[in-house]
Amino acid sequence: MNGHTASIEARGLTKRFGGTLAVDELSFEVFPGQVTGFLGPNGAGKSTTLRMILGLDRPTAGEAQVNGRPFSEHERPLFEVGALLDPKAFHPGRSARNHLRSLALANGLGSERVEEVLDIVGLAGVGDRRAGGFSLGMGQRLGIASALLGDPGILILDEPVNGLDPDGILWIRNLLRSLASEGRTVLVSSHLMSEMALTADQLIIVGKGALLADDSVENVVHASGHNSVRVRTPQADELDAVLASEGLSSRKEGANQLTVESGSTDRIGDLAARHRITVHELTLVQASLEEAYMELTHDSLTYQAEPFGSLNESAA
Amino acid sequence: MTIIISPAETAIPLPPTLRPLDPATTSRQRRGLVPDLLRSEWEKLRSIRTTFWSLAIAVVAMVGISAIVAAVHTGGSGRGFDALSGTFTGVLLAQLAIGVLGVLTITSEYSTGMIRSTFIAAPQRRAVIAAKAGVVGLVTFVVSTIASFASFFVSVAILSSHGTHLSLGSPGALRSVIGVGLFLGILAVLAVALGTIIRSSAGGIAALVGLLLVLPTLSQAIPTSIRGSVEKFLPANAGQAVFLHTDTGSLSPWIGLLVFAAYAIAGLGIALVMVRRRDA
Repeated sequence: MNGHTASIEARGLTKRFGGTLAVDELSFEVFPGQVTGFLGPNGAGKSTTLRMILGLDRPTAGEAQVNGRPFSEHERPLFEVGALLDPKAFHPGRSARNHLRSLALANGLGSERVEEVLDIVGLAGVGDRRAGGFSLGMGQRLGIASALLGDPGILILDEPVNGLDPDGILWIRNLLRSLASEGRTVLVSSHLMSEMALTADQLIIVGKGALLADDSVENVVHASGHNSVRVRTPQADELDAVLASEGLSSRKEGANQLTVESGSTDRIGDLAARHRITVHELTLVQASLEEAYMELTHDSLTYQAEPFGSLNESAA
Repeated sequence: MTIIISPAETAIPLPPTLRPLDPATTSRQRRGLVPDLLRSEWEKLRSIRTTFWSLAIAVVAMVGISAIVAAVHTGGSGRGFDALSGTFTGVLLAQLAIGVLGVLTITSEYSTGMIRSTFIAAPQRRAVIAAKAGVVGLVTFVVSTIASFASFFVSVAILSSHGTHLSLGSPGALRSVIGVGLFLGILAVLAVALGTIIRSSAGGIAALVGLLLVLPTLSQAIPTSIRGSVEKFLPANAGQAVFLHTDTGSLSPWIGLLVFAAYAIAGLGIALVMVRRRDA
């Protein structure tokens, strides 16, 4: 396996539905051995992009390649790419086992493999039950089982933790990590930053169909520049004045707490010492991934609610 | 909000590392795409109840109505009653069950989302639809041919006990019996094509009923001077000529069946073009 060639490559991928531009000249690469989070608010064009990568939707312009070829040119795609697009992509009247068998047969795989993947996802005991009676979590597991049929080097999963209980979320998170650690390419979409913070190494963030960021998780957080310093001091007003005279902007948070928008803990600590100001706490507050994400996607929400005044008091 | 990992959650076992594919299993992929897709479609067809019920309804309709028609007509014994055509009255009901089956095999994939699983496993869409039409058509042909023979012999038995003699050697009998199986098999292919084009179960079934039942009735609106020559080329009339003997000028049996097959091939052709073009 070579770690430097992209497994998935999108070049100028564009999709227009009537007058709506769903995906706007999206270009990115996805590499093996890591979990790549594909993030964006609802309606950002994530699913459409994944569907174009998987050859289900035809791009209006641009193209996507999987292992160096368009998906639909792979004669036995299950050996290259496993995909979970939605947790109910099966006939409800068919048993889980027969569902997997029909897909396996299309790629020349036999029943032994079906039993193996049923085992891996923990559905072996209910394999003969009609899939229509499955819970959402079981449906997700069945979808993942079908994605694993061909032991593929690439996995593409659209919102795999949607609607799952904590056990299921943890299970998927561990599965994705372990698949990536085996050197596979894992592309997983989500609209939840908190989930990606725990799972992903690399992030591709989209909004309104266009690329907003394509970077490592650390860099996305760092680039948001929203780090601040929290100071707790009984002489808040004095410190505030000192900071202002040094050109550092700060704001009071309650009687004895300040938040300094810029500057390091070292510099603020030194300033306080020089002016004999007592400091009880001096903390660097790093922007969470969530905040970085909100900042990036704020302008590109398709469905945006009016700000809820009283809850919005801390907005800068 | 803080996420607290409780001891119970940490006890969830890590997913087992994927077992790599057994080379013995993968080497079987040499079988070729078409046989694999046929096996896949056969697996889909045999694993849902709709298939069983549709075929059961078709068989019961054919054999049951054949018996009833034979029993009812034995009183009059012969004159004015075409014993052979009467035998296959049930096909007019069976054709609806078969048509619905054919439409549903593909529209149910679209309505449930299965189609995306199918096309991710096999992006060769035209081959998938062709394999499906082939499997549904072949299974229908086999089952209907058996049912056709069964209904014929049931009819023969009932008629002969009342003095009307009919056998496979009677003029047109063997042709009609085999023709029923061919007609329904081709109809199943046409139904898969309709379903692929329309993609909705309700729409597909409506189109099928329109084709089989409504179109022949609508043709009453055509001026009498040309009606006859148009009517006999309508799909249902053409296809049924192989086993129904109407006094009005229908096509000769085998020509009729060929015209019907041409409709199915044309429909399938349109379906294959559309399934490739459209987003799934």
